Amino acid sequence: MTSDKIIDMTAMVGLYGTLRPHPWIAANADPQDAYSLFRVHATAMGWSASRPDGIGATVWGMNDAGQAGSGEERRIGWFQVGLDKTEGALPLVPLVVCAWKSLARIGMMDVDAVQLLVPVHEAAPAWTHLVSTRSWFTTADPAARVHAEVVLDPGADETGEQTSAAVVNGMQAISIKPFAVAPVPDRRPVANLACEPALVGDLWMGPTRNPITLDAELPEWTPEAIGWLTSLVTEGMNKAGITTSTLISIVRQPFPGAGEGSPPAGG
Amino acid sequence: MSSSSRGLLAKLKFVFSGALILSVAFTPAAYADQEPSGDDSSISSAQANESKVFNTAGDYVHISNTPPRTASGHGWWENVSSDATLADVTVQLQVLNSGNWVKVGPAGTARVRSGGGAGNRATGRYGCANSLNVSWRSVVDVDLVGYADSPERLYTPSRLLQCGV
Repeated sequence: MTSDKIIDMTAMVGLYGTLRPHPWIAANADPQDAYSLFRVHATAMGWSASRPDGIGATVWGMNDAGQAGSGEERRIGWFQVGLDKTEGALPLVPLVVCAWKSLARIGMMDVDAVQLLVPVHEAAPAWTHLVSTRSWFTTADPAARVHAEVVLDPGADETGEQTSAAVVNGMQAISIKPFAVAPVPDRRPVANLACEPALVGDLWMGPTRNPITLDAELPEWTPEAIGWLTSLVTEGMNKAGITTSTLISIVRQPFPGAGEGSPPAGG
Repeated sequence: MSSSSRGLLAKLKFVFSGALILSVAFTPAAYADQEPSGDDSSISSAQANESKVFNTAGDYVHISNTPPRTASGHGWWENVSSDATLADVTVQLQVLNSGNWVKVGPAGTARVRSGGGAGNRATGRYGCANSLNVSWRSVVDVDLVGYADSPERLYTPSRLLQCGV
């Protein structure tokens, strides 16, 4: 058995925080779980095949899912899918939305971090898609704006000489407002603690790591905005020459205090 | 036994059971250790027929996210109009070897309620021997408990995985 990194069409998403199950869930005569709810919601939205025979275009096929067994686990749910071949943008917004809404059917949740495994090597150029969908967020409540740390972990020896600045430079082709992203050259990321347990370990990513850290602002802490930001940084990685399955962590953080450095600049 | 004689026996079985569930043509499915490569779009005449009484369902065979590296696939059933409440669901993993689909490992089997909800899925697993790229699929079979049903099986789409056998 080798420890080769796994590079395929797999995508995953994990949500971290707290989940308090609805009181009626345990008594449900037709018990559902993260797996079945995610699958059903994806089917309803046309993201995954409703027919078990695989007929009909879809963006992914179900793989697996799990949910926290107790209220003390920070990872409240995770989902794994196999992406179908597409010439369009990776379905990262639908993935996060589907995961978020599935867990919200189970209980009241407070999500403070999201982690995704993104097959960046399968990502087609997404600028058109990003430009076409950015205006959704311009109507967000200004008071809903959040700061977040973004950590990109391409796994074993995949970062090479690339830096956070190179990834951010890769996003400069368009204006990304109302989002903002800035490089963070030297800061220990908090994502390792916030996203524990990680979606995948050395089995998928290989034994050595050299993560890249970014600061970001999102117009709102919603699954749509988190998915859009993930698409953006995926594009930046592609432009920077990182084209492999990458673990992307987005951790909500307090806004830095005034005078603690330059705020991230929207493009 | 020829394909035609197997089909005849299947029809007789339905007649004598007195509980014909699905009135579709019998598609011979000689499941030995090796199967010819065929349509992997997973459609069967039963599933395409409007008279169907249940769906057979399965997900993509995939590598589990926790070690050791293992290929895995789930199967379940969805009741459409049968009176059955339970079914035995079997998930058999297969790999493509020299143009033939070959089963690997024992089938995963579970007696479950319909819908694929919590605790109502069967799982087939096989530990990867190496990280070679191999095409995988699963064959999902549903047998309604207490009722006769058709012999159709679901073939999930082929997936290329870094999981050699």
